[in-house]
Amino acid sequence: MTGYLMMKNVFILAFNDIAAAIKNKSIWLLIFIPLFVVISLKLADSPGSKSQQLKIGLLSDGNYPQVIIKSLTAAKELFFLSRVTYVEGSQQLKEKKLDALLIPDKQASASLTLLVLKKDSPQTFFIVNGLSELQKTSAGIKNSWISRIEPMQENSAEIQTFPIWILMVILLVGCIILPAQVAEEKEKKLLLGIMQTPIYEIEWLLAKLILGLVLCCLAVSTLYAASGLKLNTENLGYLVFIIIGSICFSSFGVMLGLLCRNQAGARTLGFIVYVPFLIPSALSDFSIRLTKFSRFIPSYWLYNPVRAMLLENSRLSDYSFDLLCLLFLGLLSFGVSHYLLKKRWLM
Amino acid sequence: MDEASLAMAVIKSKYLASPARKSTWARSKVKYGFIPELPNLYDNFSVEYNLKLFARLFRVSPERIEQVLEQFGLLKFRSSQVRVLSKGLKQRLSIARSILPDPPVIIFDEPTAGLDYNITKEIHELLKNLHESGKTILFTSHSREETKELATRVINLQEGKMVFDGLPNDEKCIYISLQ
Repeated sequence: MTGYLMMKNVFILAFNDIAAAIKNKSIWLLIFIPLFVVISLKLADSPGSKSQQLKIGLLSDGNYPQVIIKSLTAAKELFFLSRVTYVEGSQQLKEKKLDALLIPDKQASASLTLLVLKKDSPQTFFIVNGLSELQKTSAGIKNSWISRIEPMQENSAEIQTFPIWILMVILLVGCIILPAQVAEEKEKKLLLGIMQTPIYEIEWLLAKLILGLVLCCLAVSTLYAASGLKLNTENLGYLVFIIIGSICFSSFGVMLGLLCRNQAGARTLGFIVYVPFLIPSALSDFSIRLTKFSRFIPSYWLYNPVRAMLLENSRLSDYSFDLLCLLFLGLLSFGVSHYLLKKRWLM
Repeated sequence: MDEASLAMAVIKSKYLASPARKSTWARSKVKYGFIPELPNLYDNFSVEYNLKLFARLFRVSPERIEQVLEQFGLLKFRSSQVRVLSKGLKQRLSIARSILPDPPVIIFDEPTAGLDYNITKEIHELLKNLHESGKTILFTSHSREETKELATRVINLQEGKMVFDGLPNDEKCIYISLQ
């Protein structure tokens, strides 16, 4: 009976929150976006640095034509070579530790298959161009060294950028909408009114998480509907991440809202968190340094698995650590929020 | 513990706005209503929605909503959005919402602060009616006239300490409140 009453309270509050969210109009502060975009771009690899050397993997058991190996080794300013197995090479490509993997072609003895992450990336262009120049300077080779370029990610631009948009909307709900709504309830003393009723603090918090989940699901569904993309029914692991991520970032958003006295403060704090959460993760595909940096940002624990599962067909089990990190963030935020609510912090 | 003492205990608690320690209060019955200085209502929603939401949370019947709408003269405003209501109507709605669960004690924080003469009189009448219906009313006020008109017992506080507890017509009470 207590459980039933609790659920009833949670849903009454959640429906009220959804209705309030529909009625409210939020104004977005964009002042911090340019600042953090610049910082993120500075973290990306700059021209002239060592990272401009293209990293090419050669299969440790691969039988490469000597002339190609000699040419590649001679061009050490351009290429950095490393010997790897096929599995290691594929993994390092995904982690951007390698720019390409050269695979000997079984049919044509002097030809190679170039395995890259994206066919139309700048790295692929520079590798093909570099190899072509090397080939021209090497005598005795008439056929093209590269017979085939095989991308690991062969998707449309829409699906390529889909993980970024998913991250963007979840963070928008978690860092901007929910903190502002919670702060509004505090500012207008609505929360005090709600707390006079015989409900528990935890019920109010759960209602907020439901609101966050509903808003995130609505936004992701709208993204799918607008882009015309179909759900990848063979690998639904990313949906688990979207749901868990929505709940955890909603919990984080409620905590941000409870830390602020009014809406203006919540919006400012929300944007201060939103932009550094969004930009480095979203740009991590373009830079190794940014990828390394992003691993410490909670949004990357959501973005990276969703991207890998959507674009590279990775499995949910490959990202169990990220899932645990997300859950930890959600539970920690929930605990802090519960404490702040119990103490009537800034009310 | 009588109702007035209970209400004082609630005021002293830092968990003023909560029927706090819900484990002991249980969820069974709301012991007091609290009306803040400024009405804390959902401005973008109707009068009826505000009452319905809290009726559900207080677990009172829909008939009770009709009762309080009638009791506070809000029937013809039931569909109006709260933000278009006058200050007096908002205050009435705020009180109506708080008495939905029929609490024995009602606490008002400066119920007439910032209100004009006519609305102040209207709120005074409401408070008197509630008192006559058997409710214990606790209110804070800076107005000697208001205290004299409404109160049956006055407690003066200075720097958080009680310096007087007695009748409103007591000379000592008046002397202290003029300090």
